Amino acid sequence: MNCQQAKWRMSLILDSMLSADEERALQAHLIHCPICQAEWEALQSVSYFLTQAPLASPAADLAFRVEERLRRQRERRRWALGVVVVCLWLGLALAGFMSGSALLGWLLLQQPMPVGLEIQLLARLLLVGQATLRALWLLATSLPSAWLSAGINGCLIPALMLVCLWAWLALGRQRQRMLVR
Amino acid sequence: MERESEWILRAQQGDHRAFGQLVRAYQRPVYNLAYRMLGDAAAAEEAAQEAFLRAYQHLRSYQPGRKFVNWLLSITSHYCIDQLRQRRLSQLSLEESFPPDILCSGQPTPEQVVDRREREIVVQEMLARLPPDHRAAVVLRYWYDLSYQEIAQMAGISEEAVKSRLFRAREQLARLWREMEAEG
Repeated sequence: MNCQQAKWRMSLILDSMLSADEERALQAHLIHCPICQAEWEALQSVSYFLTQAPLASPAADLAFRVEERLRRQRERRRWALGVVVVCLWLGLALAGFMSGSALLGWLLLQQPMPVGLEIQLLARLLLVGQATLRALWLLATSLPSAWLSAGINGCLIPALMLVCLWAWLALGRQRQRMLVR
Repeated sequence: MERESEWILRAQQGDHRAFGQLVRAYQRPVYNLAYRMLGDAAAAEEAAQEAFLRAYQHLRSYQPGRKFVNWLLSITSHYCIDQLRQRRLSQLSLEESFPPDILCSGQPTPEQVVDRREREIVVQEMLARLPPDHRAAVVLRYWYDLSYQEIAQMAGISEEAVKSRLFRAREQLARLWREMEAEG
């Protein structure tokens, strides 16, 4: 057995992982090798020293602090969920309002009217659309987290665009009808 | 054990109080591992809290066949190794090494208190010289008496790798020990 193998076995013997034969071989090597003997003594001393060091104790309120952090986490999660629900309801309400307005506008446009009135209606629809976009933008940018803003934008902006497209097509059809007449 | 299983089950269903019982039952081993790994009381306290919070978040992934305390220690050990890598903490100051409320049972004499402090400082100084992975292996072996297989499972390595880590860590510790003896 060379010194490197002896060192490897010293580590294993400290964990009771050597067979009786391996232990005997190691002891035989140690008797004839003063360098390994010194290493073995140092290893035994340091192992004994470490085994004597007891478990460190935490502060008495560790469990309380963990419970407190869990409680705060749960509150934050509930608050975020509440904000999402409110935003969704708000978004749905706005989308409903916009759809209703557009539908009303479209119904109005189905009625025969002078050419000048059509332009006035279009201008008003654009003004309403612009104001709504501004309000949505303010709402989205004032929200606490980016993903909420993204959610609002993702839901409402396409809805608004659809409404505007719908109104635009309705106006186009009305104008065509008037030109045909 | 039955109570532990019941607490785990209730905690998995979102019962914070049941989880609190688990924290009370295992706060000492978790804190000790964090303290031995990080070297100062404040960081160990924070690490222990963080380990418990992570355990709560991943409680559903806990497999009942495994010892719960080993699962907690595994989380703590990984967290501490990450912390050490981030901080690149290679050496601790003596002031940081000693926690004020460590291990006093009964009424020790002033000499015993001084002796304990000195021993504690030496232990932490030696551990601080080891690389984080080797330190974790030593702490789990000496303070928790875990087998190679258990350490391997916790660290996600083979048993041969555990043997190798312990061998290298001990080699380094023995060298430090001889240096300290030579310095007196």
